[in-house]
Amino acid sequence: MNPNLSAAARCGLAMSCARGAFAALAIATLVPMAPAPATAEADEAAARAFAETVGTEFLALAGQTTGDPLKDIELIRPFLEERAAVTVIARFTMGRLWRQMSEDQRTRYTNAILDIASRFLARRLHDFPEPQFEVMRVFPTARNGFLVVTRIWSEELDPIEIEWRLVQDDSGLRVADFLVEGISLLVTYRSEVQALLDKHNRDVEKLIEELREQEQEIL
Amino acid sequence: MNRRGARNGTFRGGATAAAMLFLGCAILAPSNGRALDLDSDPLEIYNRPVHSFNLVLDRTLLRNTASTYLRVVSEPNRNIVRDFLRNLREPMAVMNFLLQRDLENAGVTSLRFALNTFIGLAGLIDVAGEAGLEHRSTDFGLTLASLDIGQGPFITLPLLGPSTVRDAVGGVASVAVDPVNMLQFDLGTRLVQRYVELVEFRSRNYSLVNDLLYHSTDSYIAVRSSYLQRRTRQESSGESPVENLPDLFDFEEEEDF
Repeated sequence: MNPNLSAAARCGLAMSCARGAFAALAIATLVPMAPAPATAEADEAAARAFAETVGTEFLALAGQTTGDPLKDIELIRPFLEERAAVTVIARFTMGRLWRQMSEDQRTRYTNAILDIASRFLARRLHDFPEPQFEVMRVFPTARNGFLVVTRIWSEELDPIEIEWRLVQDDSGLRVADFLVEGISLLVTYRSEVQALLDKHNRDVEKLIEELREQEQEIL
Repeated sequence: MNRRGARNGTFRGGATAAAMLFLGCAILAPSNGRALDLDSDPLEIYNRPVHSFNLVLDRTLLRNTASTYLRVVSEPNRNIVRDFLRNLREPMAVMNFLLQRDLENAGVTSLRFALNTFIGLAGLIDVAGEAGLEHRSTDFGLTLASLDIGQGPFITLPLLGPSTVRDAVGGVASVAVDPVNMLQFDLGTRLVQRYVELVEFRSRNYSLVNDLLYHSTDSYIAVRSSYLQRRTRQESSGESPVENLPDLFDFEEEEDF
């Protein structure tokens, strides 16, 4: 947990994590005994608990911004590494070319998009003035994934529905995408990456180079 | 413009809309499900220069106006402007909901218009919204979609921004047959209304549009992708949001090449 978090935020976050962990534990205990429909319900409850935990963590981060985006990156990057399905995102945005990339290229590409996302969030985190957040609905998707519909609002912000795309990996649930009014950040970013690849004649090295240049322009 | 001129103008507008509809429908294949092809862009060679032109306009005019509007006009007053403009569009929305055979939304929107016009001071106050009748938006492009008309190629319009051939045809038809437009005889008034709508939209989505236009990897692609995805969601309103989600793991089943 980041040392810059205030006591109140840490408390809220800890409670939220505890609730999430408790729910996950309860679900893990119940799952082997429950019949199939109950398992599906338990999985949805786990997805809901995960989204609540991550949402609370994110809002705590938003409350802890220093005003200096370069410092705020240090708050955000570990959060993304822990909660985002970084490898799924990297593979999806690269498409078929992922299979032809070396391990080193994959790592450098994944780090580049992680750094860009961190900088982008660091610049925007101040735009969330004391928001409220709730999970509204959970839909199962293919391959044990979930679409979680959440609502975020504040005194200065009309309620917005944000959908989270959750996927399962070896360590459990992770966030792969956000959708606002049907616009998927991941799908949009894939289109941009594919356009860049076309521009560079499918040269991954040039793509990574340009992404690094763009990263510097964000802040 | 006098009343006769207005009628002539309306007739010309109607004829233009009919011609556009005919021509547009002639080149639009029926939609084949709602499979979203974000990469097909036969008009890109035309669209990119227009997008660059729109970027210059935004950078030099619209963004500054929206920024000033945000700074000078308080949020409650901005809401009044938004509600007033929205109310002007309600009759057209009712017409479209009826064409889409969506009687529930047509009824709610009619009621909203009546309440906001007569009790909400010509739409300055959204009394209907406060009573639980939330605003529901639609347009002629969505009406054409409900008739199973394909969206056609993506197109970037000067000043107006992203669209598809179907939505552009729908936009022309909307201007021509909008009952509120028929009451406004002066072209200047219409243009002012349109510009205020643009500024209001730009200010309401200030950071989001800035991110799309000035902080994305490729602003043209980002705008195109966002626009097409949003329209697909609007077309499928009422369906489960899971319906059109892409398979994040589809590459695992693809053959190496």
